[in-house]
Amino acid sequence: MTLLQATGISSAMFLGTIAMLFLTIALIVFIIFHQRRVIRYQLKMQQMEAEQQKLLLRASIKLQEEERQRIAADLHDDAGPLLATARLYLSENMVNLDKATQLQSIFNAKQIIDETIQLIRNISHSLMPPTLKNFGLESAVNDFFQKINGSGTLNVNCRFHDYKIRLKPEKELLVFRVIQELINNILKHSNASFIHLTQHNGDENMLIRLHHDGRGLTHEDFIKMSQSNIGLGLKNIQSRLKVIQGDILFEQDASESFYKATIDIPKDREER
Amino acid sequence: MIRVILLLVLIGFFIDTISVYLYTHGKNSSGWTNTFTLIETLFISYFFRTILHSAFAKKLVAFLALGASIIWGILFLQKGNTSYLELCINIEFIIILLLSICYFYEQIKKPDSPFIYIQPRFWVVVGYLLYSAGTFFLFLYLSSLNKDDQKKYFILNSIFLIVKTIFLSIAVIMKKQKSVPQKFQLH
Repeated sequence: MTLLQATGISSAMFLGTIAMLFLTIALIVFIIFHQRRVIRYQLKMQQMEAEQQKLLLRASIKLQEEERQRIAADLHDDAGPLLATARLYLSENMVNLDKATQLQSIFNAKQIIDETIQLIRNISHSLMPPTLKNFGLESAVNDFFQKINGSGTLNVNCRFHDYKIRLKPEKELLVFRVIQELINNILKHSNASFIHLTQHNGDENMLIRLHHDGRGLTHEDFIKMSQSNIGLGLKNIQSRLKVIQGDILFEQDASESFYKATIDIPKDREER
Repeated sequence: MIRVILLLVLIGFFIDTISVYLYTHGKNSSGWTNTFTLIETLFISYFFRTILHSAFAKKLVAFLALGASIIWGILFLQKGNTSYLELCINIEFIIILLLSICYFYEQIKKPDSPFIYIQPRFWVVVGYLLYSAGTFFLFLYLSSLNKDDQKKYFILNSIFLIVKTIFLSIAVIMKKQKSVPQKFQLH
């Protein structure tokens, strides 16, 4: 072997070794730093998710409190005085021995008790609509929409394409509440002249879509509002959908004349 | 798994001692060294097979180990105990480099623990990776060098052998991770 060849081999060996070592060390350093960065990112995501959970929980508790306050107010302000009046009429019977007056008092007390029964029924219906319980989501939505149409201010209609197999009762109630919340939001904020609801059945999920021609939300607005402290109703929608592992998408029509909200409801095996 | 590596280090130490003894007594030690190359290749393949998760990687390990063994068998039959099988050593290094990249890739995609360096296996991989990278070109050109140059450059092998042993020692003495704090657990 000549000296030149030996020098060539030596330098190739030296350079090759240096290059290999450099690459190896760079690879190890890259792996360590990359992993640390990924972990930092994942921790941040976890924190954000926890924050979001907290907001949802707070919204859900607030909703429950509001519901309780409303029921308490209904019972205290309406049922309480009615029952007190009925008691008064009945007490009068003990004092007044005149037959005709007694009959009149009993009749008045009966009327007031009937009124109270009706009132308590209304409170009960607002907690769990009987149509929903007995006839399902389609009838309950129809019923709800008829009431809104009755006001004559806007045109509301719905179409269920295929709802032969009902969802589980608790799921139906949650979906109904979400629809109610969305409709309430449209009525309050959008200034829409019509609302159209459609239901589509898939193999593994059910889609419910609401169209309206008023001012609406895009999905970015929805995410922004549900991450902030405002938009309690939207957080309630989110927390209700989370229970049934559903999802919602807010979007604007391509023509920019309608807003859409699409609810995705995954179906259980027995609902398919 | 670490026991496998520990066993390999002990076998290496035993074979190195015999080789040095034979060398100082003017005898040929290549038979022992060549046998150790095969043992090391198989042990390392087994080690990577246990630390890699994907089915493809496991199949690749088996395929590479089988391929390396066949090549070693052929070359050993041809050369026997007369000379070192540098090609087999280089094949072993290529296997280590390839499987180390597979391991790092898997750890990037789905880490086993929040910090890669708290696992003993990471230090084993780093040790072998540095040793392979540092001595790859040495063994590649070893046969082209004359006896004096071989001795001169063989010190490089000893340096990287020490580096590798240090990393393997870190892996062996590392305490086994009991549990990862909740806040660092990945989903």
